[in-house]
Amino acid sequence: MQPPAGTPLIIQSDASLLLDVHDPGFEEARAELTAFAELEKSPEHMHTYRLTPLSLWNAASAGLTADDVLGVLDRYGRYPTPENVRFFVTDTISRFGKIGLHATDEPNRLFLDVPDRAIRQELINNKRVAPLIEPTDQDGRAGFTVALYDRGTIKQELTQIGYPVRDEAPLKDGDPLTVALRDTTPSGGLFHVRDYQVEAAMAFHGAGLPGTGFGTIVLPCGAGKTIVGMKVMEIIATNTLILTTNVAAVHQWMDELLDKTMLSPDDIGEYTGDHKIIRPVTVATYQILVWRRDRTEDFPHFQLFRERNWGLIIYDEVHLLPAPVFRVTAEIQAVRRLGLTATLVREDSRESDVFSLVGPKRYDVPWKELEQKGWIAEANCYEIRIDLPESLKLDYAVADKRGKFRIASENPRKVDIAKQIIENHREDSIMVIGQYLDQLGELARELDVPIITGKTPNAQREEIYGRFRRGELHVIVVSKVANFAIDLPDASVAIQVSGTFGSRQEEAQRLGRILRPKARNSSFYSVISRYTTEETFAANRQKFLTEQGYKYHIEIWDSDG
Amino acid sequence: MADLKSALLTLPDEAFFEIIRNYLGPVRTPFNKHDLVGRLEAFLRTDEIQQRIVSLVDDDDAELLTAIWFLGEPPVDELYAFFAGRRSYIELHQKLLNIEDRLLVYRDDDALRLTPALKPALEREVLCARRLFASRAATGAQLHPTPPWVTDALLISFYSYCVDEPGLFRADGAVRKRAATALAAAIPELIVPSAGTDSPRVLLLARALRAVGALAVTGATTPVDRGWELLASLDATGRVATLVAAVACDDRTDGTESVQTVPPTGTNDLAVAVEAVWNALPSGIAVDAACIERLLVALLPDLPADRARRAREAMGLFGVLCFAEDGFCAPARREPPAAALPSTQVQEPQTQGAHSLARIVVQPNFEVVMPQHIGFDDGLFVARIAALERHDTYPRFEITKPRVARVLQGGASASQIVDRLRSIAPSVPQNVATTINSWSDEFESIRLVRGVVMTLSPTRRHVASHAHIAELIDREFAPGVYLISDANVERLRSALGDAGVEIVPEVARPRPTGNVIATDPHPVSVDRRRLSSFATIIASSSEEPARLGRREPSAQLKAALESTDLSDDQRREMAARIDRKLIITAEQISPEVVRSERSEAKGFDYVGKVRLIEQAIRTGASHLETIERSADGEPIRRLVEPVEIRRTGDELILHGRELPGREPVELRVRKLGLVRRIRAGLVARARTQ
Repeated sequence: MQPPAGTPLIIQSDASLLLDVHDPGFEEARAELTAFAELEKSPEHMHTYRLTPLSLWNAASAGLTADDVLGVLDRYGRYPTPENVRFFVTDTISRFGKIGLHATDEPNRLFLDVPDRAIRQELINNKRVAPLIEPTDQDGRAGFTVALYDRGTIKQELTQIGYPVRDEAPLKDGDPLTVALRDTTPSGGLFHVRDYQVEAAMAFHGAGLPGTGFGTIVLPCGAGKTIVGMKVMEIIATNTLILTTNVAAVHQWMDELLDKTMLSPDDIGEYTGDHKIIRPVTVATYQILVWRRDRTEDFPHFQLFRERNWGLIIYDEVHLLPAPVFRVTAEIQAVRRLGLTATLVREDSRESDVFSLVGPKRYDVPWKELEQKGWIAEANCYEIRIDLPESLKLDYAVADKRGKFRIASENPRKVDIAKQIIENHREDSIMVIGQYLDQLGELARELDVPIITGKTPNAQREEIYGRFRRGELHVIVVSKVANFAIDLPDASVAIQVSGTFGSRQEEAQRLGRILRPKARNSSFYSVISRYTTEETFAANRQKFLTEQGYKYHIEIWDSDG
Repeated sequence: MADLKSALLTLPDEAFFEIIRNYLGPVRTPFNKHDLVGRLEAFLRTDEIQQRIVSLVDDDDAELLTAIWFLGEPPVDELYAFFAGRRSYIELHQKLLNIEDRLLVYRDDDALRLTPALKPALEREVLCARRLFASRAATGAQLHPTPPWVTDALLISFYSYCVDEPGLFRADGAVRKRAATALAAAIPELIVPSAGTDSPRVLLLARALRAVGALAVTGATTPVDRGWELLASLDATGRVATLVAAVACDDRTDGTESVQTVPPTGTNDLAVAVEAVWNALPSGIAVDAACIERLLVALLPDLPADRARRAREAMGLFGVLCFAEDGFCAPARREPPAAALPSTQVQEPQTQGAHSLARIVVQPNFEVVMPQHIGFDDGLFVARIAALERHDTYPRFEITKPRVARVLQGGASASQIVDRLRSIAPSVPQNVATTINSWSDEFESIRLVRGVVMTLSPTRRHVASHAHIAELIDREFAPGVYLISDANVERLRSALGDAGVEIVPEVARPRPTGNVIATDPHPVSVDRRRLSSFATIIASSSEEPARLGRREPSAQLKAALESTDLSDDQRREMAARIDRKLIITAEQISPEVVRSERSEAKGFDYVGKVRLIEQAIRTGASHLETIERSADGEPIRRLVEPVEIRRTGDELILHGRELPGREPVELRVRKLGLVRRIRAGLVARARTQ
């Protein structure tokens, strides 16, 4: 007998929710779950959601009650909801609204409204919270004052101890700036914002009500997070500081802004190692922000945050936000903050800091859902395993860990494999991506194709991109710059010959290079050396994508094809 | 089985005629024993007589009669064991004599039997299993029984957890702090204290698994597969019962110990008994704790009392019994469709189909989601090849390389692993199957082989060609270097000798490692017939029996006694008989029935005591109840089977055997404060026993 239809949900006692994809009630349940549960992973058969304090508080802020949440769980649950989960939902949601943050007459102080005496006492007794608060009474309401400077920190600390803060202190408006999106790009192409991009922007903005205007948008690679950022800029219409990962990405943002909005070049400034131009829209790198002469000095470029009356800060690839930037982010809590990323997994596990200081996840959509709707290409993932040549096996055996990885990654047989794959995809535009410049250089030579690295001059890079887009080149070799470039030309095949150890973000980013919708399916090949550490790292890299619903097809090729 | 007639006919004359006179009046000569017995049987078959006899059965009688019926007409010793701790041996002995005299029961060799003629009436009006077990309606949590917390899924999860567990326990047996934290994240139920204790459940579970030979605690905490195979051979209820029994039978102390190789003696028997008791207890009813122990003893008469108590306690700790604060307990839900977490009530439908509830889900990220329904053997397979992530409603695992390697080490092949996965999952992702095969290839590429290496120098290499030697060579590593199986070493040495090798070298043998895990070698000796009647009797006793009260003899009998011409002694004796319910009709009140004989001597009546002792020894049909004072002045009461009375110095010493154990005893007659002669029973035991 099949399970009862319409009960796809298994509610676990740790507040995770397994959603059976094959149950007839799957779609309906999923639509309801997104309102109050966070999608953790969505592999082929069972998706995992999780009830977290943040997800429940977000639900509460949107008007959902504990009964609403429990009603959904009971309706779709295959088994009764565990009592501890019921308690968790009720208790967590009940905490929402117990503490509010409001403006005061003093510009540098905020009022922390805590009507509950027991909670006030708890805060006073908490060693980390106590230094940040001063007891006070405002218009008959008991609470504390908090320095504006500590706005982010106090929210972070209170979240840690289980009290979400309903931040109703107004956000700074910043100097106004009209950012109008085009219907037609300067090159003549039509442009429109997709429905999910609008949804994401609106989820962030939340009609401008208190408690909105800060958060993180998670969308798959190739889904157009940049467009979301621009849409938000259009809605909020204010001076905007955009922080991104490297100079190439800075330039690409600038190009996209000029291409998709009515902003003029005079409205946009570059703040990098090469240029220090601050304009109503300024694009900077994380690196410049965290640069300092030596460890004893302050970060001189943090001043950028105070240089203009910013109304919006966009953190591109927010999962890569360097730790020092967290500190200053804590200071600018009055400014609207938007985080953009495809993968919220950090190798330093500071995701909660991202949520606290940049903002909670406001929008998230499974990759496969976008694929099904045609917004991103369907991608077939392959792992090609090849042996190390005999001549390298001993070198590999005696090498240290790093050495082993490098030898495996730079397996010369990968060149032949890459050639073979390229031969199998003659009609496709192909990107060969890797970690090691020597290997990539050799590949470029063997394949007789151009190579793009971080050192490639912009003009040359643009020329190569242009030829690739036009179809004059159907293969290019790119280094790690491909991980982050936002206007890398669309390819339909990616061949990954090496990667950064087990980096899941990198794998996702690289897959994203081929996910722009196109007429045919895309193919992602990962070539690894068999029986080496590369195999182990590959398994970890693939984990994220398999948890997004992708399947890897493993093939074992010998070097003779 | 002897019937009443045969039993009566084989009585010693004194006892026989005592009965006949009591019920039928004086015996006139000539007489025929068969005729007399026939008349007695006819007497008993009379409706009115049956009614009178049964109407005199009070609650105390009823309990004893019910016990005899419940235990399936048991040997006397079993009856004594059943009432151990509740009734003294002497009290029980005297009571048995009384109901024998009243013809409610008779003895067939050593077994007690209900008198057939009276049995229907007794079954209708008296016999009820609920008389033996104090009970009340279930209340509170007992009304909504949940299954025991030790479910198949939990066991499977714990198995998987322990595979990589470096060490759960300290030397003193407590859980290591860090391990406790990790365990709480993986299997939170095991950190919850056992019912009524402060001790986490994991201690109890580990103890049980060690006791059945399924867990080794020697620093690391390691599953022992042989023990798990034993558990896998049982059904879910049997597994729980076995763990309960193992704990109850485990006499070792806690703490780190060497590998337990064999379940404690009696585990199998007790497991069967525990399961039977659990199955027999009706739902909706709570019984008191002592009842559980008595039921276990009823099934296993040789079960020591403390072990029965430990079994009862273990049943509570494992959740087989749900105890209320008043000590009354009700059974846990049995054989649930699926085991549930403590806070849930799971209703699992049956399983079929591609995505039914009994099939695991294998995901491309190597995650395995396991439903609660999974067969135990299948679940163990998953637990072997995958590491536990978290135990929950659907436990989650991850297939890992070290785990798969461990299974490969055990002799399985990759294809067997993948095929087994395919048999219990709707599908196995291609990358998972391929990776398992790849791991297998890698594993197989290096082999460690146990055996004996024979090296032959070039001058001796021809020896390898010798037929009897060649057939023993498993592998040739290199010219002159050969692998021979350990098992063939002696044959090899012999063959080398045959091949002309004069001095055949010895082989240094490796030390034996590990332990031989054996199952409990003792076959189950629980009376299966009693098992099934047990359950039937308890199940059929659905209502509370009527209280019978004291049941006094009728006033008519007392009035009839008053109107007779008996002497005072005779009248007293007859009154005693009426009180003992031996007289049921006025016709039995006759001077010829009464035999006044002295049965008791006490205090300074030294001569009387000696005479009673001598009489008892002479007739061979009596026991002696004696009372003497200890040094503290406390009375010591004994029931003695007298053997002889002998002078030693100035003292007369009574030599005998103290019942029920029949331990030899020597008593100074001078020290005895009371000597009372008690009949041994209708059937006298031979003195040689």
